[in-house]
Amino acid sequence: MRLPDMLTLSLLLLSFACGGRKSEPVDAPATPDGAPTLPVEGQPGPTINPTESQAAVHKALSVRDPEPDCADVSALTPEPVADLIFVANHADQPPWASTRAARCLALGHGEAAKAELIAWMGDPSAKGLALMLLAELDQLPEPLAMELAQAALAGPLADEARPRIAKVENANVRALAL
Amino acid sequence: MHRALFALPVLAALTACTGVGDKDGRPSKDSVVTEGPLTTLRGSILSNQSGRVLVPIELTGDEVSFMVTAKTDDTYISLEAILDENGDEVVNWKDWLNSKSTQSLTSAFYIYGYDSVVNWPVRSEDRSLSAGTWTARFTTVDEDYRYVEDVFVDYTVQTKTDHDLESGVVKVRLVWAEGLDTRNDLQEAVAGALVRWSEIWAAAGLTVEFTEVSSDLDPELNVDSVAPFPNDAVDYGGADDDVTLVIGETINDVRGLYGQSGGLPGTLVSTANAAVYVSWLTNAGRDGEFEEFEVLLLGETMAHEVGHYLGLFHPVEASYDYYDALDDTVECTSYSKCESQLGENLMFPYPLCSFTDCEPQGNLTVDQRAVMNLYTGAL
Ligand SMILES: [Zn+2]
Repeated sequence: MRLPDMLTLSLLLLSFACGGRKSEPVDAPATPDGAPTLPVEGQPGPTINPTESQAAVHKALSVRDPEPDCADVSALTPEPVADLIFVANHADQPPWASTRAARCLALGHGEAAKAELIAWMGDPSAKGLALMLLAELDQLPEPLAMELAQAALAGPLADEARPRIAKVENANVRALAL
Repeated sequence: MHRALFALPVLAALTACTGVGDKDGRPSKDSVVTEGPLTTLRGSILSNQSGRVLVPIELTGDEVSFMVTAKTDDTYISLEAILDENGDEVVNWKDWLNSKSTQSLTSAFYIYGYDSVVNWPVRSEDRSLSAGTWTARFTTVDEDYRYVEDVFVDYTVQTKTDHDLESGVVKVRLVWAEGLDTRNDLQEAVAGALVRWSEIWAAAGLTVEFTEVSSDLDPELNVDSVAPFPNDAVDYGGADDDVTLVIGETINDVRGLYGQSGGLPGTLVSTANAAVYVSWLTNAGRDGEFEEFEVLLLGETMAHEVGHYLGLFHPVEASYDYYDALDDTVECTSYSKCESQLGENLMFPYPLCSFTDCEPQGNLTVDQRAVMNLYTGAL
């Protein structure tokens, strides 16, 4: 086994198990219409107050298997683009909720969400979303795929993006990585 | 548990025959290998004129479970029934796939690939084994569900004689997609996940023994129930007593039905569906980096997915109207009831999470533990 230092890790994980994984609830001020409370500098971490539809999208995307159908998820909300963006940007847990939200946005609402998708391609804190979108380039319309690839190659994720873009089937997109 | 026996694998018998099963659907045995409590018999057979494949399962009376894996080259195959030594039906697909059925027992009944796998008994309440020749009756069908005759079928019958159903070892072979095995961040995340997984399964008396294999598999995994990928195409050192877990970057899953597990149950031998697939990327979240809580969830996901592979269904599906076939997992009918009654169960279809926290999810019921220990690969 090349697995490193299992003892240290097991102790670390045991401390998790004993200490509980849930953080203490944070008393948050009421916000109108359930809008998210964004983090304020110098204060404890953000409190997320999703709307009903955002919570529904989050729950649907939380299912382990089989992966929920993006059209079904989008049908849960009158504002799929805004809600999927919200989940992609604010759902820390489970981790697959945010990456799946990004994928559903690209596949089902690419044009409407284009600005956000392009922003992720250049944002190291959204690297997971960016890598997920790079894996879907061949499923996207070529103009959108080109824009996303160009954004990734022009930003701080270029080193990770390049070998992935070099593997896509679309020759025009692939050429960007050469 | 017969761990010591694994150190001294014994080739108990080896017989060889030529040809395949004859036109009347009679089987041809190719080999029999016994290693400790596990015996693996390989053979071949042709489907008969009514598109049936009758795989013989010869039992001495000392076996506690068997697994039959049947596969074709390009024809759909599924289990129709299991018959005991007297020819009486022990289980029939019609009892589980009908308009009134709301429970799942085994995926062997489903027509979805060129292989079909059944483990028997599934549950402790199912008919136990008795001496004589039992039969697993499969059907071969085309895309329009018409029976197909003269289909060449490779089959493997595995039996176990490990009578300790309170504890056992499951061997898991971790196959890294190309390049991932050299990434320290993934190595550490998976190592932590294995600790959580082991902790969960320990409650079922099961020890997980891991081995790792590097591979040249594309990290963008394409998973297809009828494509010979990856185990049929490349031998990554798998034995007939281990479960394969492939770790890739993304999964393009066109199977749809089961998500990441190759079957409920999955097989111990090589077929197109002989693996569980996990994407590191979807488990690393928005920033693509593993935080500690994500390592825990990855461990729960692995324990859940390989739990499917050992034969566990979700106690309730996310539609809240379809269930496993176990007595001690309640049949709840709304998300609020299901989450409160089953939300901490390992096999619940989703973890209970706010946007920032998830509840630990590792409980197993007595009946679920029995299913896991009856899996022929739990030795
Ligand atoms: Zn599942």
